[in-house]
Amino acid sequence: MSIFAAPGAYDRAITVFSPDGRLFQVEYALETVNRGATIVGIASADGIVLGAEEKIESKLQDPQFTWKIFEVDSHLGAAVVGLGSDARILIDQARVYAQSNRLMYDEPIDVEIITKRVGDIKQLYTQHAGVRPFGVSIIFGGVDKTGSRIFSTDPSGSYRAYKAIAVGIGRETVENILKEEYKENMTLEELIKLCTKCLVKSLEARNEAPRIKLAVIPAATKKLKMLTDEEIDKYMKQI
Amino acid sequence: MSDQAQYPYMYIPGATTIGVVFKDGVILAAEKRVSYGYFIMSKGGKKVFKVTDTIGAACAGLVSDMQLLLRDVEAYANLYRLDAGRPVSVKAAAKIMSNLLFSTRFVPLITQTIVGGIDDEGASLYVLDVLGSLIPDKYAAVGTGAEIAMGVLEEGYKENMNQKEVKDLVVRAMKSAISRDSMSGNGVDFLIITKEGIEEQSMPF
Repeated sequence: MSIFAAPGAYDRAITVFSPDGRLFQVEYALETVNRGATIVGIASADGIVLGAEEKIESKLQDPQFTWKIFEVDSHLGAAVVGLGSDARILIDQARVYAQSNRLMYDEPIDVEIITKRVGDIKQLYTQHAGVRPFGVSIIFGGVDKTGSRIFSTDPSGSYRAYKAIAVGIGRETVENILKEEYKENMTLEELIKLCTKCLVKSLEARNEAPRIKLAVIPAATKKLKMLTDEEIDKYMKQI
Repeated sequence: MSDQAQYPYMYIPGATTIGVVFKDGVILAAEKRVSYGYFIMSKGGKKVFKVTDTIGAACAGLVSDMQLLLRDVEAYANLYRLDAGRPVSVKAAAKIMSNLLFSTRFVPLITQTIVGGIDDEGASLYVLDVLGSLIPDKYAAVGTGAEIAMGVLEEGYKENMNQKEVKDLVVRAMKSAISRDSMSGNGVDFLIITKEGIEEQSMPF
């Protein structure tokens, strides 16, 4: 045995299991995600809403700029939490998958399929040598042939379907609100209000100034729309 | 012509192949003759194919090429179903075939195809040529007997026909084509696709 593989050093390379069957690097990546600013995704038959806390680092930053919510295709959006730079790589790849699905099948890609594709990439980075896992969780939300769907992937590459989900530092606060107030028959307007409330409360709980971004995809149009800061202000005042 | 006499596989067999959309589904039909020039190679060629439980295809052209193409499309349709967790739509299945045909543009698969079936959007039908052009339609005919069959379809087709009316129309079109196109004949295979599934039928004449 070489001197580098000292007993107990199961977090030096991600391809190495610990004796109790854990991959520490993947768990550390999850930790990055759990400490990131909260993102939320909520779905009802009426459509889906994606929301994100976006803290401004400098007064000179352009307030219009959004870096946690992305349009992947016209019917499909994504909210990311964790390392923003890692996220961009996955979003770029997701956009390619979305377009290639249109070329292959003449159909917009299903939300589950795009989540699975991105999960596949993440999984590779938990098994190959010489790489580190993506420190990102992504909530994909969209309206496809199967209806309004929300899926979430974590750094291990596994994914699940949700009616409503929050990831990041405010997860507990938000999920308590969601468990209390989410109903499957909510209108899109109600979803936006609920999402706004979740994010504002989670920021308040940490004594931070509320600054959030929202995107909606109505089931009627299947077209993603980023809400303007004025529209978001309007919803925040209603809480 | 002397080349063709020397190499029988240089012949492209003729065919009459028809597809019609009706109220509750699609009927695909192709006659059974496989001809190599003046010689009838087979009286039992099958030119209609199941792609999925609700999608079928009917072809004209080289039998080897249609068999190969359909096996590929079937494989991709199965992978799609397993991946997406829902069956492939008729349009997507036709698009898969279109991509396969276009990808062999420089050594084309010599087969014209009618893809038809039922999905969430109802019954639909697409016509593809050798290079994979994809054209949605209500009724179509391909093959050497297409002109003759199309005359009958054109005259007899109406919106919202029921299954029996459409089958009668297809049989009439087939009979016309078979009696005047020397490369078509020896009976007809049908694929009748409705919500209940695919029913295969055969008719000698």
